[in-house]
Amino acid sequence: MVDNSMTRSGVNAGYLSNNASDFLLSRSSIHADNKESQQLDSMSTEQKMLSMKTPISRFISDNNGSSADQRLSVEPVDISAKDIIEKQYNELMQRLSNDSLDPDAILQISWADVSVMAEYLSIKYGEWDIQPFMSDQYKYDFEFADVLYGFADRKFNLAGDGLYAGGDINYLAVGVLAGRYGYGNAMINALVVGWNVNQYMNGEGVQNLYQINDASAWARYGANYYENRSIDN
Amino acid sequence: MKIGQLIIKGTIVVVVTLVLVKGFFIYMDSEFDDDCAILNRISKDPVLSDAVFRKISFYYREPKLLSNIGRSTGVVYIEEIDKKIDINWDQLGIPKRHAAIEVKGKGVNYSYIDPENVEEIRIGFGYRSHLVYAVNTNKKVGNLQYDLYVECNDK
Repeated sequence: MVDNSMTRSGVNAGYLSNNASDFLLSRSSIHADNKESQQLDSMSTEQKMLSMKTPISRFISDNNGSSADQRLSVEPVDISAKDIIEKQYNELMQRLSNDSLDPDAILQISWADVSVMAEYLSIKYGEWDIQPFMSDQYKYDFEFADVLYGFADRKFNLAGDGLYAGGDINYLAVGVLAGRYGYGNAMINALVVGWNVNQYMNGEGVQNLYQINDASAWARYGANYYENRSIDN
Repeated sequence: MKIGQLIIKGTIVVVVTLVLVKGFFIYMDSEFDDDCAILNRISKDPVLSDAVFRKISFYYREPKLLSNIGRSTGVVYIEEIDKKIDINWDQLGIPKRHAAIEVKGKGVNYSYIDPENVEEIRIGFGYRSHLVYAVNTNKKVGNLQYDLYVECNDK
């Protein structure tokens, strides 16, 4: 039944065109409402790093039940917030890769997965320098801003909230990068419209025009996530 | 009449927008080598493309090259790999932060790659545009042989 309601790259277009923007943007502030996230977000980067310093002895204790004396003799190893997010992101990609072995399967992702992707991108792009507008590096950075590597043609069931095309969710990365540049919604919409209209005019298919609305919503979601995250930090 | 005027005005707005967008991209891309152009250039240079293949095929045989990235398959960005790969990405024209590799084949697992199972090695920009070295299993005795083509994908 779900398939009957899908149009355009497998996305429930009616649902998205009416609600996607507001829905996605309201969702993007969820991480700020979450008490645990607020506590983490209210810390400085240094505090976060310190709070996540995990002595290797803890793992030895947890996993092997080593004695206290043995634990004391082991040097601590730092596990940064970046390492944790990268691990979660890689686990997500591995799960999607496994699930995608069935070519007809609709892949399942949760809002927590979206947060992992957004945070992974925020950390990654946060390390990149701001490039001059439309310089070669600028163009490469925006053109290859992706997050669902290899799943652009797949359909995703986002926690029962709707079906989304992987190619549209990829614009989350464009949005986070736009957030890094401090772009507002008008600039983000212009980027997405300009990119897709150009692709259409290059003969890459009318689906690029159909994609604009949903892609813009995901891009704005990504930028909003990065912006809130920056303010919290 | 009003509807007719609206249609005419709307058409003009759409056409002008399309022309402006296209003109903007033509102007901005006039001296910009896009990913497909760069990969096609490499693929048409047999010495360069073969050198890239030899280098990568040397590295991916190292057990620890891809074993620590947290995934057993998929596209891996070069910057994710702990070990430095001695390839001059700038010389190739592939920005290092977007340079990526993927090893594909039946049962290929990055924790240990059995060269006998490797069917494709992809090198390029992120996950969308690659040089695809399709290893020819019939010629795989001794030096690896391959068919080379370029794959460019839309976002």
